[in-house]
Amino acid sequence: MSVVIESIHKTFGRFNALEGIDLKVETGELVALLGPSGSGKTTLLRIIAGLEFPDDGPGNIFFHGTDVTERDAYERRAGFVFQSYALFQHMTVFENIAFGLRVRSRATRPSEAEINARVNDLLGRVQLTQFAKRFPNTLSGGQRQRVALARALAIEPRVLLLDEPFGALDAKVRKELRRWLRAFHEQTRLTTLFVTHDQEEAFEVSDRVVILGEGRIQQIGSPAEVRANPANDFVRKFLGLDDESELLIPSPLHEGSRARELDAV
Amino acid sequence: MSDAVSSSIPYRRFGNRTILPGFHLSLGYTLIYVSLLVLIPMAFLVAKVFTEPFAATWAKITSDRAIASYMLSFGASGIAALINGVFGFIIAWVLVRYEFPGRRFADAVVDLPFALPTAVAGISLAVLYGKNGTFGEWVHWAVGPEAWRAGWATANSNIGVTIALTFIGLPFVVRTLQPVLEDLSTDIEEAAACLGATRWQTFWRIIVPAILPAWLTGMTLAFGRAVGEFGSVIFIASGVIGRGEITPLVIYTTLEEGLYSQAAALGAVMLVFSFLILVVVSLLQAWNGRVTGSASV
Repeated sequence: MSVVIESIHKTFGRFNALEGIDLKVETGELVALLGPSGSGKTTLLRIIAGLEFPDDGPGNIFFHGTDVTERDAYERRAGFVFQSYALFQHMTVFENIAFGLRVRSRATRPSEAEINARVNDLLGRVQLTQFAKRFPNTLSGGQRQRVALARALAIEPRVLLLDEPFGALDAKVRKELRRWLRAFHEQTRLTTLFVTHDQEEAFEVSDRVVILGEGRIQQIGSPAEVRANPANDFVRKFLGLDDESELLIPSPLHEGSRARELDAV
Repeated sequence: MSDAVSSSIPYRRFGNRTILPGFHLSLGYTLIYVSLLVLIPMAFLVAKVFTEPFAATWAKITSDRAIASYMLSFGASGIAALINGVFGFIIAWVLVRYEFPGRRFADAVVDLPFALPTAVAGISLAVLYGKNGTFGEWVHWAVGPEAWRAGWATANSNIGVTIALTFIGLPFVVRTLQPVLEDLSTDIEEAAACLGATRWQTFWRIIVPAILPAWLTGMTLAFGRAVGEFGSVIFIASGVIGRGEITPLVIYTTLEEGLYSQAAALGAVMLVFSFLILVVVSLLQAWNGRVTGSASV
């Protein structure tokens, strides 16, 4: 399912978080929203999910051609994964994942057997089958994040939104989950947007990268394109490419700036 | 809540080595303090019951008058605790979740029932809810004089007792819920919304289970306080023998008649009932902790 965002503005008090965002995410794409903190990337993701509403004005959000701008979060069916996992502490892993199915209206709610089947299938896919009866506070960070992912997928979301999904995990687990996410996406081809401030993560996982800065989209392109042709100074600085030539022709003369670049990474 | 602490911190047992000093000293201190302050007076109360022939005492504590007073004391306290459960939650929610002018003031006002001498509260309420008081006048007008006389009076009546007990119990629910609501992050509500839960479902399935232990504790405290309340109630109760007396008032009049052991027996009955109720609530808490694994709340 495609997601289209048209001229979205958002201000918090006097602060302009987003100043006219236009973006089209094609069906089955995995897109990274990359930017420094304060660039508005999380705000944009929350607006897509319906957790935040854009300022009044011409802005619109379309899910597969349907205008959802005025819809509440619970009507949009967007799977959202929080950086903090936001698991329900008083429910088992199984019940966490089943929650989105159990709250459906009687007419659309699957039977108990169907819920069981779907949750067990998801538990298998995130490799947590043996943890079904555990409570979230007994799991590690990586396991919790996988529960959060399975919970979001249980409702068969039209789009998957991940907010710094691996931000709170240690480097090794982060790398593993990143690969797992990419492989998972290859299988399901679920339209996915994920927010990160880590360019390595964005470049490794996504089909396209959207670089946000100061409330605007600075550049959109495939990882290779963005790296090869940074659109402007902001992107160059953010990626740590102060001057393209430094990267292409490393020389002893540029030792100092190379070190700076490595620091930035 | 207390379950959470006890299950996550292993008990210190005799003979175990620990880096924390002073276990024996603090245990001894705790036992002595609890004994001096609570257990010994309670034991004397029970002992006092048996200083005189038990037949007369038994007749007293099972008399119609006494039983009616238990019903009023525990019934009105229970109703008051439930009312406070609902409205205390709303107040705590508003104080925690919203910023508005006068929030700090409203927050401070919640504690007034703690600080006010109960007799002052009782007199104020009796005047306000009396037939000629501001609120009493409205009710009198709304229900008509006949219904007022038949039991709808808001002062000199059992309704008045409930109003007074609600007043003094309010802070307990608000103050026990506030910290729990502050800890409850909004992203679990957002997660529930993204999963398709309506606000109502989010409230019942996500928020209530998370705050239930604290909520029960708050209502139990409000109930306990209400059962023991005397000062504010006597001004607004009707005091009609066999219908409008709370148990503490029956104890007081029994004492005035010089029947000390009978008064002690009435006190002991209250003690037993209160204890049973506290036990039931803590069993409920434990059960809730087991079925929800809420050691983490």
